[in-house]
Amino acid sequence: MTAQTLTEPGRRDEETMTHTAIEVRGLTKNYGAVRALDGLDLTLPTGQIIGLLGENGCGKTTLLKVLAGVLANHSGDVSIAGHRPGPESKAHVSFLPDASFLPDHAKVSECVRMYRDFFSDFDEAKAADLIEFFGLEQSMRLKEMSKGMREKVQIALAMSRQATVYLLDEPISGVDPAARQVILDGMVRNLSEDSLVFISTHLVHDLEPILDSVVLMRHGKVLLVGEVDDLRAQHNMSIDQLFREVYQWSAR
Amino acid sequence: MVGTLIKHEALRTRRWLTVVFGLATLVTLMGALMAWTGWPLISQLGVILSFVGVGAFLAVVQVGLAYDYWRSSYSKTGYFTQSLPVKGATIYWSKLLWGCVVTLVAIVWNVVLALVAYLGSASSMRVTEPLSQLRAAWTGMLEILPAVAVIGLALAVVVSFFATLVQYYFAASIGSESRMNRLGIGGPVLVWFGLYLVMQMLLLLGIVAIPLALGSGSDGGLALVSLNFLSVMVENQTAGAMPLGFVPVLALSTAVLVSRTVVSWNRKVSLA
Repeated sequence: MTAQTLTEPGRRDEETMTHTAIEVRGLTKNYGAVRALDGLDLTLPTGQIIGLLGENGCGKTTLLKVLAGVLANHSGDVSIAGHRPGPESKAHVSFLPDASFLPDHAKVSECVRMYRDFFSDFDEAKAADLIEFFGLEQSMRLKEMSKGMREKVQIALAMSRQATVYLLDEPISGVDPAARQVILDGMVRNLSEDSLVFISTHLVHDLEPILDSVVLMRHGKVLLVGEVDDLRAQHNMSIDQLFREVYQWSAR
Repeated sequence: MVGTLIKHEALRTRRWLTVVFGLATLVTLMGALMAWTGWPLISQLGVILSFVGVGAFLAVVQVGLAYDYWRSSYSKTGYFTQSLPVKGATIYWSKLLWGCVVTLVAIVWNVVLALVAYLGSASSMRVTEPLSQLRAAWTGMLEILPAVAVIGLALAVVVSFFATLVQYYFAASIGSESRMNRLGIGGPVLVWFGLYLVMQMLLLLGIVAIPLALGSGSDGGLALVSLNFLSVMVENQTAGAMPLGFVPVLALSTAVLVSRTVVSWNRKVSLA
């Protein structure tokens, strides 16, 4: 129940799941007097889609930022895609932050050009396919789009890299339920079997069908790591129900 | 990769730079035209307008570059920049190089705009034959200063604008580190005010500690002269020469600011 290592195969091909994608030991990060991550340990393999769950302020976003290499001044050992967070790891990690990180005035085609120019693992054909799948046009400007449409563009680009690890921070928050399903379908469309997708979310119910495993956090630490099927069988409830059960104290 | 980074710097900044260059040109031309009419009030307003266009242009360009640097590195779009598989220092050098190129072009354009403003305002300022007067002033300057000194002074002006950019970028980077990143743009603004005060003190110290100045030599030409700036200040005298003590201070501080900003890019990036 409190194990912080995930090594057993999930839904996807067992042969592809022998590599460690993320290894974190004693990770601590403070924001002034507030401890956001408190000696966190975590090991995650490749070849899975893993949900990162927890209440507000438990450190999910901080963990993803550290892994993505955009948050310094932390202690502990972090390895992602075989590298410490930095230029080498960023070549193998696709990060989708919980923010509109593309220029407002840019057309979709210009954003595609940015990815093509900077990321050698960017698959332009896959991006075009995903953009079409989401019902968007490359001539559209981001500032003319709704939040859901912008999210689709960002996901199409982030998922079109042939990365080892995808770090997705709240990819479907603030999007209506119908759009959520389309986005989730797009996320897993043509996904490489040997990559790790690590997704933070509050929308457990929507994400549950695509998850192989979950990591639950509380107070900057990993509370629970487990495979979705095992946890469902062990607790005789869905992951959504388990989430409500575990975190009901903080909702009061 | 540096080429690609600079290409995207150009693509990202071209819109607002076009607007700033266009507006400055429009304001200066309009002002010069109004001044040229010689009509009472209109011409006086024109003189003010054209010189506002000239005077504000470079400052607006450099502040705009600093804001764009902060926004593309540490605000929302900073997530893209900081996720690139490139060493932070390489991104910084590319941004600084592009900023210097833009500044250089803006300086040249500012000279052109200043010329337009001067010609338009000449009659209002009772300057007859403005071009001849300009030529005479230029010739007069060359009589006092050797050509190499004129080139040196022009280069010093350009480099001082580059140093200003280095200071802005330093403030943006240090003000966005973990201690202040929750303040948003407030962090860089605070750091810049602090840096401004420190720089003023350091420059004054340099002028006082290094008693060298550019002044009139025994033959009437320009020469390096000794100047005790402290006694000039204490005795409330006129210096009569341009102190040079600020030059090594500015050069050294710029080198320090650049190296600290590189450290920030390589090891201290903390996006809020």
